[in-house]
Amino acid sequence: MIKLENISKHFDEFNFTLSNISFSIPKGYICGLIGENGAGKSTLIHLMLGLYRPSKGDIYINGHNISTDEIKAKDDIGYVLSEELFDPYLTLLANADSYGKYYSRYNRKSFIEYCNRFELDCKKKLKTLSKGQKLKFQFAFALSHSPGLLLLDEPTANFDPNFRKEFFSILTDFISDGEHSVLLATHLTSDLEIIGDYVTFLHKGKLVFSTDRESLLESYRLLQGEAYKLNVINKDKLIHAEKKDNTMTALVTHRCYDTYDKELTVSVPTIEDIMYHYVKEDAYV
Amino acid sequence: MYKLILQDYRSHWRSSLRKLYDNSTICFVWFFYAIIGIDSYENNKLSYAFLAFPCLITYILGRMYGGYMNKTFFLCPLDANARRQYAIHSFRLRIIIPSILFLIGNIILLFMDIFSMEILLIRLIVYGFTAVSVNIYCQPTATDNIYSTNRYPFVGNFETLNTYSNAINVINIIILIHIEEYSIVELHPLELALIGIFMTLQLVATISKVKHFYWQSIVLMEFYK
Repeated sequence: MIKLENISKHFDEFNFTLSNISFSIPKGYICGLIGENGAGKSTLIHLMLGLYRPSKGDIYINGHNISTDEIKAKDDIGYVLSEELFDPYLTLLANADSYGKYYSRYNRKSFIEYCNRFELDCKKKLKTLSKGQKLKFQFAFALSHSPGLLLLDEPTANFDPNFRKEFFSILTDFISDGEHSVLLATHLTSDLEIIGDYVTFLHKGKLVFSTDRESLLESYRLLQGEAYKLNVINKDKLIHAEKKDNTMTALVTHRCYDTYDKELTVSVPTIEDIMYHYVKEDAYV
Repeated sequence: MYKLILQDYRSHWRSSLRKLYDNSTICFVWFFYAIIGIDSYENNKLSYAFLAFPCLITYILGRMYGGYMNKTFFLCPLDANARRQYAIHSFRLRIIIPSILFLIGNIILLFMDIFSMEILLIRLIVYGFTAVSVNIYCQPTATDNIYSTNRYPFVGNFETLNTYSNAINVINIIILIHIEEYSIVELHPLELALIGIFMTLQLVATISKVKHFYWQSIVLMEFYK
C-alpha cells in the first residue's frame, strides 16, 4: 500500500536530515511509526502526504508516485494531523464539503454518520470544539472519502479512553478487508501492542528498523541481573545496558538458538523497552 | 476552475476577512482613499466612488483570498499543475470581479456625461494597473512569504516596490478626480504631461512587479515547501 525508496530530505533551517528511509507497508496491516521527539516522524508523514518534496527517493501510495501521480496518490490518503488544519469559522459539515469536493469518493452522508458516531454536532463551528473533538472531526473527514491509506500523526493522546477503544475498533475494521492500511505515528507504544502489525522506528532522521511486530519482539531479549553479569554478555549482541545500584538491564539481539546465563532474568521486551534502549545509546548506527 | 474558486471564496469568506485585521498596510491605503473621498465629496466629484470603490474591492479581495493557501489545500488531491491553474485563475478572478463593477459604474457615468470617453479610457488604464499590481502582492504562500521577499530583491526588496506602486496608484486617482469634467483637448499641456508622467511611472511599476514577481508567486503556490 505504501512504499518508500531511499527517501532523503534535508532542512537547512533546522539543520535536520532524514536520510535513506526505505520501508513498505502491505495492504491490510497497521504500521506503527515510533521515535523520540524530533526523530523525523512528522517530517516523514509530511513527505508521504506530499507536503514536502523529498531531496531524493520515491514514495508510492497504492502504486502511485506521490511526486508524479499526485492526484491519485492523495485521493487515496486520509489523514489526522496534530495541528489546526481546517477553517475554524465554518461548521464541521461546511468544512467537510469545502475540502471534500476535491476528493473523488467523498460522501457527505458518510461524514454525517461518522460525526454522529463520534458524538460531534455537524452544525457546530470548528472553533467551538476541544482539541480532541477537532481530531475526531479530522478522523471523520478522513474516513468519509474512503481512502486506501490512513496516515495518523499522534492522535490518540488527545482521545478520551472510551473513544480510544472505538478508535482502535474502527482501525481494525478499516483494514479487515485486506485492501486498506494504516500508518500510526505514536509515542504511546502501548497502542501498538494492541493493534500494531508492523513497527517502524526512526531515530535522529535514520531508520533503525521496520519489521513486523512479532519478528521484532522475537529479535530482542531484555536481560536483568546483577551488574557484574554485564561482562558475560556478548558485546556483539548488546544494544545498550543500564546499570542502577548493583543491578543492570540490557537489551540484546536474539536468535532462537541463543542461550543466556542462568542467573539472568530473560524476558521479551516491549516495543517501549526496545525504543528506550536504542535511544539511550547510538550503538545501532 | 472558476466555479471551484468561487465556491472556496464563498465558503471561507469569514476566515479570509480575518486576514484584513492582520494586515496593517490596508489601513494606510484606506486612509488615503478616505482623504481623497472627503475632498471629492466636498467638490461634488461623486465619480470618485466609481473609481475608488472597484480599486478598494480588488485590494480587499487580494488581501482576503491571496497571501497564502492554507495547508489543508495542499493536502487535497491536486497536483502542482492544478494548483498553478488555481493560482492563475484566482488571480484573474480577483481582477475580473471588481472590473465588472468598474465597467458598469463608469459606463453609466459616461452616458450621464460626467466625463468623456478619453477620460474613461484613462480611468480604465489606471484601474487596470492598480488591479494587477495590488493582486501580485497577495500571491505568495504564508510559508514562503518571507523567502519570496528575500529571494527576489528589487530596488531594495519587494515591499519597496509595492509601496511605490501603491503611492503612484493613489496619486493617479487624485489626478483623475481633478480632471474628470474636462476632455483631453481642454487640458493644459502641463496637466497632460503630469498625467503622462504618472501613468508612465505606474506602468513601469506594474511591469516591474509582473516581470519580477508574478510568475515566481504563481510557482510558489505549486508546493507547500
